[in-house]
Amino acid sequence: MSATEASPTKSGPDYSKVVLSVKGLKKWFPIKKGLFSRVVGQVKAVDGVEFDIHAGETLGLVGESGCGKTTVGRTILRLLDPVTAGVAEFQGQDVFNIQGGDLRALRRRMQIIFQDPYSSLNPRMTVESIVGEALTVHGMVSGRKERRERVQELLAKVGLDPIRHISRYPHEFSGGQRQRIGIARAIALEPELIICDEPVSALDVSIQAQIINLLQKLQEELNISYLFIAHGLSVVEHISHRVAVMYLGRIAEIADCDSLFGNPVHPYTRALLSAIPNPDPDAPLNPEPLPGEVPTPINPPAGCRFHTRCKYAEARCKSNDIPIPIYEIEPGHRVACILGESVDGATRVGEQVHGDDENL
Amino acid sequence: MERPSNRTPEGIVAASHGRRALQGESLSQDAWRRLKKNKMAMAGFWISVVMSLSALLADVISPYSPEEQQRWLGALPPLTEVLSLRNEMRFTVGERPTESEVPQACADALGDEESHELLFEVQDEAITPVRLVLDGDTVESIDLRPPGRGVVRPDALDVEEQDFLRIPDTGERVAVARIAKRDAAPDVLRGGEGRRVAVLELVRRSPEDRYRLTVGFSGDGTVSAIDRAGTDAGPSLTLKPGYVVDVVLDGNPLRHTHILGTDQEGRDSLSRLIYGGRISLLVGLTATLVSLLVGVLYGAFSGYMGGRIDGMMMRIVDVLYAIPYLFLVILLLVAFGRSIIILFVALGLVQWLTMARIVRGQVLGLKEKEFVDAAVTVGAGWWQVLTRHLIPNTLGVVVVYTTLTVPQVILQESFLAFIGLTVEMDGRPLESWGALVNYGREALGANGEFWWLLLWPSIAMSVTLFSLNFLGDGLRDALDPQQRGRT
Ligand SMILES: Nc1ncnc2c1ncn2[C@@H]1O[C@H](COP(=O)(O)OP(=O)(O)OP(=O)(O)O)[C@@H](O)[C@H]1O
Ligand SMILES: [Mg+2]
Repeated sequence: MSATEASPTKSGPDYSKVVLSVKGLKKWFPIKKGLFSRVVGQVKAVDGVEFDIHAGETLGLVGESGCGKTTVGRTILRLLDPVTAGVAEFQGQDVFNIQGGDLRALRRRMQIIFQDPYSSLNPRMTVESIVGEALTVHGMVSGRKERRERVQELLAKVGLDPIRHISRYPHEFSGGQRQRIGIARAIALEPELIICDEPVSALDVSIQAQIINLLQKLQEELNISYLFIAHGLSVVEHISHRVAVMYLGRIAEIADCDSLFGNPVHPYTRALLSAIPNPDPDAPLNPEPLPGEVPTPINPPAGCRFHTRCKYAEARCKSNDIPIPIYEIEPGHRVACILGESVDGATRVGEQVHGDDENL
Repeated sequence: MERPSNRTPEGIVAASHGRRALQGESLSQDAWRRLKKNKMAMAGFWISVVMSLSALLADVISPYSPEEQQRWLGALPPLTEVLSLRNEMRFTVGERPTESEVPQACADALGDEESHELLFEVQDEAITPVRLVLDGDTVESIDLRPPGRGVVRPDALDVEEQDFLRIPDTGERVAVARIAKRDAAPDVLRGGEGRRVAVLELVRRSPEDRYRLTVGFSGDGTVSAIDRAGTDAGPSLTLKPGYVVDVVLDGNPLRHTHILGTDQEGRDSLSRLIYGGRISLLVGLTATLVSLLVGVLYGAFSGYMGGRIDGMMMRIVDVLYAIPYLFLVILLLVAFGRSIIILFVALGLVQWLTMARIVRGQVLGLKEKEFVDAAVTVGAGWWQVLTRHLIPNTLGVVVVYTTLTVPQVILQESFLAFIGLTVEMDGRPLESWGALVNYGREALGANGEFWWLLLWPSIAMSVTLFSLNFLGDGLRDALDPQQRGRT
């Protein structure tokens, strides 16, 4: 089981065209206390994240619960204003410094599919209004009849019955069907990027595959890019072209699928890989079970965030004074770990800086 | 990880069919289905509907005007059959009497191209002025002035069964069997200070003084002849209802029944009850609507905005909560007059506070739901998020609280009416159930002999309040999302 066996339906992403470019993204949530809402601390949910997504590409974003994956997605979608630091450019347009009409125009191009198929659909609206709302808001249809036809098209596209299902309410659908409704809503505006926040984790295993297939089919047809958020590597393996592994608000390792699964460098990536139930007895990887708990993002460990659970950790990993080096192992495969220096052909391309926290 | 299967979307759709009926069932339909299973709530629902309809159709269904006084009747117990008469009946030969001058049945019959005969059996009364000298509540002396006999000063005055005492100004009857020196004065004369004089009339009737009056009508409805005891009574006649012992139209006695009795001014209790319900329900509904409108919008906005704005808006609510609102309502009514509009505003303005708090709490929870984020991502503005996504989802709670607010407001208005703050419109008092209860309590009498005056409005109010509360409770259960889908 490796990425090379990925399904042939993957249409090639266009790596010359960057759809979304994120640099130095930080999102901290202030902790307020007392009568006058004094800020007594910060939850550093996202603390310096960088990645690019190309046209037609799926970037998997993987990490344990609480590492800030959802926060990354929502910050980019401007659902968690204001951003703490960093820039995001959507096809060259600044995402964080626009308002009003520009923001609305941008929203049309970036959509989201949520994890929870129950709370993501308004129980008081019919499927028609849920899917059609976007069309009305952006004036993409004139009149009810056209809207209905367009919604029916969308339902057919996501595998729902355009006639029977259109006037029903969410509670009449199963989890998988609800997720299809959410997908129809997301593609209604023909966006270029969809952030899929664990779109299948709440579903039955058998249904998960159907939804992932559907997402892939839509990507081919509509040339959409996905930021595909997931808990474990097993889910993203099949759908992603590249994968970013996130730990406690930072990217630990990012690479294309083959390279990451075939040649993982970061101990955290390896630990995640070993967590995949592997049917192959001759698997090249040693199981590396992950000791301990994820530390709290309110008081993240100094130096490398992972050092508290890392058996390779050295003294230089544990200090805020020494930056964590970022190595490029192969083109496009970057890892933020000292282990990168011992890999053949690795070049140091940058570093994770700490200690500017008090300025914010 | 399980590899994606080759199942087609069509296959999935086919498998999902037949799970439910073809037409979508909204949450409200589901709630209604479950409400129908709750017997108490449905009883409450139907009673509320009947009450509302009767209030709405008061003009059509109430047998009399609630203000029409038939003083000669006095307070009659329920189911009393009485003669159909008008306050004053005037007949002039060659003229057609107006509807306000003849009983309804007679007015209906006139002008149908047939001649009719209206026959009154009249019993004249001998009226003797009675002068009572009172000291405080005690009778000091009694003066009688029978016609042509000077002044008689008896120690006691006995009132026979067919006789009665009457207050000359108002025509009100004083129920008493005997007045004696040094005894307590009759109820209506009590409460005065010092020595004073009260004038009453002793009305005596004797069977020998009876005679018949016949009024003939020609086919066009005009009076053709007036005949008194077999002789022509001249061109015109004015008849007071108090002297009439029987009235017959073409051989049919003209009578009707006051199902719930009458009050001391001779007003029909049923009609007053129906119109009283109209006022009570109107006040309840309108004040609730005001609270609904203000409270829902205020609460939803506050909850959605959150942060400082929410904090400030909720502090305002807290401050308003602290004001003793009934006191405020009373002040408003006293200061700006007892207009019903003031009452609506005053009651509505205090009711919205709770509604705002409830809706805010709901919205605080709802705005964390992902469908709100979805709407924002799709480009919906705050107004749309508020009105299309947040408020509709608070509706269940709002409906329940509304159903429970209506009886609350009714009760508050009744309390105001009970302490005498009856509202008015165009200078006429609007007597709600609360006002009727108050009237009934005052008129009850020492031994409760006028019980029906208190009983009917009390029953009507309690039944309505119970019904609305049962309905509200039933709705709360029916709209409870945890119970959804249960039968
Ligand atoms: N609105 C918020 N206010 C304060 N803290 C928050 C908020 N949203 C998220 N956090 C915190 O930020 C951290 C990252 O949360 P996030 O939801 O992004 O994690 P995640 O990777 O998506 O986790 P999961 O896999 O469980 O969905 C968590 O510690 C969380 O408690
Ligand atoms: Mg998440």
